[in-house]
Amino acid sequence: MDYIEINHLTKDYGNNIGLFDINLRIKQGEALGIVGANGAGKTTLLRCIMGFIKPTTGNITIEQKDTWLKSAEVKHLIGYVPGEIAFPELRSGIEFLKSQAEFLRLKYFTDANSIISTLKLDTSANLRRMSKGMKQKTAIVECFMSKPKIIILDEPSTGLDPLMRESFLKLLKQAKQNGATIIMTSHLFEELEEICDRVALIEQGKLKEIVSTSKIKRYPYREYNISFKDQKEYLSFCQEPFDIIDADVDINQVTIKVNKKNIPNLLSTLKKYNLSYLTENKYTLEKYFNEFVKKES
Amino acid sequence: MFSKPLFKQSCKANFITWLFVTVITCIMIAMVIIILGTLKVNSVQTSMMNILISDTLESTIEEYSMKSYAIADTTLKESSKYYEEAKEFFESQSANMEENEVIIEYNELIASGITDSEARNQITSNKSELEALAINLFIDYYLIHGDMESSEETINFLISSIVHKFSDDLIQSGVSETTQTTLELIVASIDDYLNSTNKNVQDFANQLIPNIMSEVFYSFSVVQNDKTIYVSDYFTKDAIYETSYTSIVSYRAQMAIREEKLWEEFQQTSEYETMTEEERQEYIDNQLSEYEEVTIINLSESLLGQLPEAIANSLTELVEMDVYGLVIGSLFYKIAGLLLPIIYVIMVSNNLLASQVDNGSMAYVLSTPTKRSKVTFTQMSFLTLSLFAMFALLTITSVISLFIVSGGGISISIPQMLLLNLGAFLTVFALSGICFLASSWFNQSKYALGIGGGISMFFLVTTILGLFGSSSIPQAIRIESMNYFNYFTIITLFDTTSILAGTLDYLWKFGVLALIGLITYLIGMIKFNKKDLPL
Repeated sequence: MDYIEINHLTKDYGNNIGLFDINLRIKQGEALGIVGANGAGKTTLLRCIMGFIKPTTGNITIEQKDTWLKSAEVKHLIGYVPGEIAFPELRSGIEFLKSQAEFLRLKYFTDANSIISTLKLDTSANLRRMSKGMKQKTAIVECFMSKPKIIILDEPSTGLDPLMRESFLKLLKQAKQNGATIIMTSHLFEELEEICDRVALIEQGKLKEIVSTSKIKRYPYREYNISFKDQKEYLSFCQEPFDIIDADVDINQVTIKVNKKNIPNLLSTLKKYNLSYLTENKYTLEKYFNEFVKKES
Repeated sequence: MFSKPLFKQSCKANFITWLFVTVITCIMIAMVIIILGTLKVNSVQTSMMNILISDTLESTIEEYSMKSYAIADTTLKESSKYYEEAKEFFESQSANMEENEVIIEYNELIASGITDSEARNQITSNKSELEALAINLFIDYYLIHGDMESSEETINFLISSIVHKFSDDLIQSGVSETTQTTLELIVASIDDYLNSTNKNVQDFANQLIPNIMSEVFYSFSVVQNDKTIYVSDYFTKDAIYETSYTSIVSYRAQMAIREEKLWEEFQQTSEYETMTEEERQEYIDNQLSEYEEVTIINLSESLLGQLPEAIANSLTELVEMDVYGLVIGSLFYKIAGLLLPIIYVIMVSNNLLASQVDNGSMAYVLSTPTKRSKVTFTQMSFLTLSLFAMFALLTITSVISLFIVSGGGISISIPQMLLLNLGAFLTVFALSGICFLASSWFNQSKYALGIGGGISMFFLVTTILGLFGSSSIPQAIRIESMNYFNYFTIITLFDTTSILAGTLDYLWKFGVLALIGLITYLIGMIKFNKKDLPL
């Protein structure tokens, strides 16, 4: 029995919309990312985990408890940042946080306070008049203040400025270090790559592919764009025994793919040339998935 | 089962609305009660009522005057006949009873074991009617007084026996027990009459009866609809005398005309020739006596009596209309006073569930270890308790207001006022259940408000329309067909008419209202538990 199990989960809304036979096993302490186009079914999956909707068939269990039948019980373990933040009718941020603390039966507010200062959040501001970023921060505080064992995030860094996003990711990493299990959806591949152990691709309700980020990191090839001072050098290099995957004669640029082991060889070869620039196209998760999607069609 | 933080949240979010509605509604009931209790409600209605009462009393005076006159006429005619006879007979007897023939015979018969009435029959067996009467009176006298005393005393005895017969007849006819003054009046008058030379019975009675009536009726009072009506408020003694006198005169005139006609007709018949004077007079008298009752009824008919029954009833109903019951019972507690609490219920029940699902904030509640049933139960409790608090304050305000104007004529008692408030609470409770059900069922505010609000408002509007056909509106101005609307609203189950009339019909209907509330809340709870939430 794994910590979180998604077994043959189907939620059929008709017209081929919903989730269809999703199977996932998540270990304790694992961080799982979920990507997919808008409308693919990511939020539906999170709603099922949160017990907001009932599966048509199949189920999800957390610590062997069904998330629909034992929804409230399971919430003891969960911290949640929803995709669209909608606060209840209360005056200020601090009032909301105190109210949630009561709902969660939190005894101490110290954790909340430390996160509040980390994110530089003004909790006295009026809930109705907060900016998207402030709302997001407030939601993040609410999620982390109970030190949850399972953290569920639906596009958590939207609305955060880059600085705040850094702080948030630090928070997340810290939680992971402390043993939390994380499920997050995002459109930002970099942050998924940074945090997650595995990333799943959901397309039209079906789980198409799941890849571990370490695999991405261990990718044996590097891609470089090399631009030469003049056409002569450019043409000359084209004769070299390297795997040239793209060439643009107008800017004297070639794109080559080279095995990591072969890099010293490349560099010594390049010594002979006059270069304009040399840049790397990093192999990322995004690239991986783009290639995957291309292969599919 | 109960979530304190959620309850707190609901209180904070809805307190201002609750306060506003409660304060305004309390002010309204206080104003209604105080205004009704201090200002003159309806002067036209009051004067109509007074006219009808005085007319009814007048009709009663006339009726009894004429009846008493008819009795006096008969009694006095008879008694003056035997008075003479008795007087002669008494005077002819010797003063010593022991030597009196009649008494000796009577005692012998009694001693031999015969009953009193048998003895009398024997003694009077071959005597004329008048003689028999005289002898009987003599025996009565002997039994009461023993010895024959002065002639004055004898005459008093005779007169008092006549008076007693007369007042017995009066009492039997329905005029209440004659008072002491009345008896003295009768004695004095009859004494005068019997000793006067010009003995016209009818003129005498015409004088006597109005005197009696003015004595009797002046102290008369009758209880109607928990109110005591004193005749002395409407008539002076002189006025009673006048009314009585005039009615007797009319009666005599009618009977005289009738008698003349009877003679005319009688003279045409064959029997007329064969009868003696006496026989003819007897025949006519018998015929006349049949006309007595009809004539009295005709001459003493009241205003209302002259109208067809349906109209008389609706007029009475109009005059007796319970304005307080109408305004406070029906108008306020079923319509005007319910309006704001219903609006409160529509808005708040939406706020508690549907609105939070619609805008997504319910996600925060349900992202905590809070069961859905806990959510619905807590919100249900908030709604019900806030309503209870609202109506508790309303009850207190209405009872205090009643105290302030006590004596101002408001016909609603404290227990009735408590029941009215309870009924209003149960009605709004039932409606809150319906609105809560709509709020638990739908995921969008617009549907919760539309359906819950729509149904509630529909019920309220149908109650307004149905009011015009209901029994709180007097028949004279009621629009009967509008009563159909009352079948389409649950507010009809709040039976204010029954509460104010003191019957128990309202009780089971209260039960139905409570049941409607409980069932709708329950269904709402179950639905919310099971459905998908788009959070």
